[in-house]
Amino acid sequence: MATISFNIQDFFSLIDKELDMEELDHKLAMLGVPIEGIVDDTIEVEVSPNRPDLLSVEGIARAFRGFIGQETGNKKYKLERSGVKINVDLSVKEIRPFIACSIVKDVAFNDEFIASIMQIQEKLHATIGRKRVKAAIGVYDYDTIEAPIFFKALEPNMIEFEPLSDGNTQYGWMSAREILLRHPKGKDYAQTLENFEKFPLLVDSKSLVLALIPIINSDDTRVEEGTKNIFIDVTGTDLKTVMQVNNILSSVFAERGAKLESVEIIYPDDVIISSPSFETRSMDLEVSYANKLLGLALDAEDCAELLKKMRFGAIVKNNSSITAQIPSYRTDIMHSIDLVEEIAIAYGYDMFDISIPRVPTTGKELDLEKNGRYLRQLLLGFGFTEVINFIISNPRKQYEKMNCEENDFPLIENPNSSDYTSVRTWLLPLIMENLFENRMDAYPQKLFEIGDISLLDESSDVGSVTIRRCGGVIADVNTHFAHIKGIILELFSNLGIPITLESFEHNSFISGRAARILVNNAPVGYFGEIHPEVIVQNELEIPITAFEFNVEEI
Amino acid sequence: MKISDLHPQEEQLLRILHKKGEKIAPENISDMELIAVERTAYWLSEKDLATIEEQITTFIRLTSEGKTIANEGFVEEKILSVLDSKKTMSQIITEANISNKDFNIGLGWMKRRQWVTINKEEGQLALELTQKGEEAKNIELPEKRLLKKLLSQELTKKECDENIISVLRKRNLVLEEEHKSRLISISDKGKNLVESSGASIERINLLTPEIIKDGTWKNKTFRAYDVHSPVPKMLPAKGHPLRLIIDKIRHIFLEMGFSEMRGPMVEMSFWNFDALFQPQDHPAREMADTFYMEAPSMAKLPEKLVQPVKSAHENGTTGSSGWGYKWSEEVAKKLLLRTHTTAVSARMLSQIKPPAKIFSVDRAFRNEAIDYKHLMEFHQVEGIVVDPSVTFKDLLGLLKEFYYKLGFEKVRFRPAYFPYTEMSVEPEIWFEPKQSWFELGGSGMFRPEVTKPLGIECPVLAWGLGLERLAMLVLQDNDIRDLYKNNLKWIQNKGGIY
Repeated sequence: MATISFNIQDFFSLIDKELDMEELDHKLAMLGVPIEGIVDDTIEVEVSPNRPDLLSVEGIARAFRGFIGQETGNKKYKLERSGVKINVDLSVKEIRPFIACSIVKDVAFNDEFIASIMQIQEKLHATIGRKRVKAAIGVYDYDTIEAPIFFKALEPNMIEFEPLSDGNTQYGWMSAREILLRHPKGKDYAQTLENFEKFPLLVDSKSLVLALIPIINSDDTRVEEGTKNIFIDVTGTDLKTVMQVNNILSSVFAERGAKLESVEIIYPDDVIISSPSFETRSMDLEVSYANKLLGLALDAEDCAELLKKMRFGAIVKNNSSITAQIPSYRTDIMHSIDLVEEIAIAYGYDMFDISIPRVPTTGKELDLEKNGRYLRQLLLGFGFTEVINFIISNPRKQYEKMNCEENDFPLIENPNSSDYTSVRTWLLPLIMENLFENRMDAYPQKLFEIGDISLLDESSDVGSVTIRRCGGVIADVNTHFAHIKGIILELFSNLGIPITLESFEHNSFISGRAARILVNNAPVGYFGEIHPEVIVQNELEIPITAFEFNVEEI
Repeated sequence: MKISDLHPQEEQLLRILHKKGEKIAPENISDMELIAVERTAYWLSEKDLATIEEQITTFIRLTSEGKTIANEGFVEEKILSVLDSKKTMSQIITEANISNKDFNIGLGWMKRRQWVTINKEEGQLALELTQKGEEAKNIELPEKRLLKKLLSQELTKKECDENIISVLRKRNLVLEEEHKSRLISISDKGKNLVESSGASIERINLLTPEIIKDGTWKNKTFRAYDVHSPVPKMLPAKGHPLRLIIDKIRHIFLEMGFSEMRGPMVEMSFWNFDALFQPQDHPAREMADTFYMEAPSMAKLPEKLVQPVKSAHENGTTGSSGWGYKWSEEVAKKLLLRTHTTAVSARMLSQIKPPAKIFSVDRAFRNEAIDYKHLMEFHQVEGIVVDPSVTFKDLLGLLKEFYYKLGFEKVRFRPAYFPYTEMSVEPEIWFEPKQSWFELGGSGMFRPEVTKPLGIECPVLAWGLGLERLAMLVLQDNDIRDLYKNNLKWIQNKGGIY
């Protein structure tokens, strides 16, 4: 989830209204942009991933003005044609086929505006830009560039320019390879190009390099506080995303009063796309569909008004349906149900009368849980205290410390810590660890856990089965086989399940002092005296008896 | 206060002190054991019925040298015993059987006591007895007398002559030892209590089987206990606090007519993501967020559902544009540790017919580093309501009811985003002690792109709420790791859940 921060006063001037903090907090939450934190005049809000148009204070202000009824409907931005052409060379097709551009004139930067432009680029890259792979942005001083502009890919050794300086660090002329090795941005994003023989580049008609894409701009085209005219490019692997990002960024400039001009993108197959393009999409909505889902009784007029508050265009077709005009930046609208949600948000989640579903059903507890509940009651009666352990464990804990051979077990491909690499296949190792955690506490200690384990099983659709187990230990100077056997016999007798026992060899238990529990001749578990080797491995010094059995089969 | 409110030992001691009337050392009370006297005296003093005074007594003790001298006598006495009128040094040493060094010490003290005069005789030292010396032969030295006395009895400094003690101390024959002791006496309040209470009545302290059987209880009264007095801490064998919360939640849903569901922890991407319309390039599917399995490695997809899910992603279902990318079966087959129990809801949707109300409280896993706020596995409170009649209002009402039953009266609903729900809602509860809203998970109505491929044609209310954060609020704990540490003290001391 992305967060963005902005100055409160700047926000108030953009919405042309001042609110008290409590109201602002509530309204932003109800718009779906909840406040995460406030420090002095800086406010931090959370933006959900389907709304990249809200990754700037200008975008939030645009939505907010609609939400409070200050300015509704689809915002129309004035767009003039610049006549500038962007030629896309065939060489980028396999690398980064799409580009969208805008020219922005008469930009008047101030501190908040600059901060916002920096922030939205960073956030767009991190979110829908998928770390610059799907979409990457470049912003240049338009007055340093001479159109037409070419988007092409060259072999790295053909590329040499001075990358954007970084604070006080000037880099001087560098080759593309040097940039990837030495420039901080080059190092950060080198992997986006690592599989390609040629690197994409944006150059102007005089062969001035604008940028090595998607890595770094040239220092010659750098934007400074006094820059008046701007050129924007967005390149990437997905046309829809590239155009959306360009629209979102361009509209931020327009919201600050700059003039937008479009360019023509000429693709190698001679397809020409005008960019940016704020064309809306149309989608019809049946009013009854909205009412059925929301439990409201809105008419077509209401629906249209509510959509306009969400900055959609809306036309009432007839009593029962409307046509929504979806702003170009709202690519998340896929189905009329998305329009219904917009209506619900505009209506206000806090304004709904609530009701309880009238769906008569009889509840049913899982048999497994019922058994577990009774077992828990019996074990508590025997004086056992319940523990709950992590399901993710590691082979050392699960097998080595228990004096056992490693068998096949569910193993994580990408663990983030050597302590948590596999799924537990039994409970006792973890309960032994609980004894270690409590070694300073008084004995006797009796612990049990009822929880899930997972075993590999090729016959299952997921190659494994999740099994509910019950395990327990007694750590006491006086505990021994007869002690734990007595408990097991009572547990199963109370559960009403006849069991038989047979002697059992298991490396975690003392040889000749463990038994297998059989129900209808099928093994369901075991118990016995834990082997001193295992006790020592777990850094304990007290006799331990233990049991573990399946709750599943009983 | 009545005397019958006192513990029998308190009454006993109070009466002893009253009879004695003056300060007394605990060890001098013979009717009770010393430990009992000390403990009871403390209780009485806490109630202002008795006073305890500390007193320091100095005892005189013999050193080991002192003990020898007490038995054998001073060296000057030994010399005196062999001396008549006049003898040389060598004669004396031989006859008294002493060392040169002892002779010198003895000589010094004999001179100081004026028992002898010293002359030279044939080039060597000779001692001549004086009148005083002659007399001393018949009298025991007072120093010796004291030393002998100390052999057989304990004396305090006060009981001894100060001059003699100082001499003996100088000769390193005795030392002083300080002893702290207590003296107890009855206070005025105690006196009044005893005097106003009359004679002592025998009261029953512990009720025993004998007392019940022989009927003596009929003629006696029971001692009243102080209900405020501290007792030893009792520790129960106990269910884990998290389990108690889980069961409380399960109970709420069962009470509302929900059936419980269960699914595998090792799950296929298909049910965890694809069936929930989460595009295959969605950030949540990245390695950084999800634990994928090395073993087992591949799933068997539910054949009948592959095509409907694939086309929902690629082209959308009726009325939807879909995500517009090429959906891959291989990606859907990847096995993982389910990142949410909504995977189980998706499985259920493919099996059931409405009306249905289903829930679970079960584990989910995320690739997160563990710290005081984050865990890599946690529980989710999952549920779905499937019926043609359900609306968004019902979802809000149901969630509100759930939190109300859990004890949270103030709930608000915020718009949110999840790829599989529309409307999407994040319920928040108001937590009074912290004066803030707490977001506890996600909920919404499943998108048609989710439900239609699974064969469900009606609205589905759904939620997947966090349990651990809620548990932290209920248990008033600040470190989420405590929930899985299984520290016995923590488990035993966490209460207030039911």
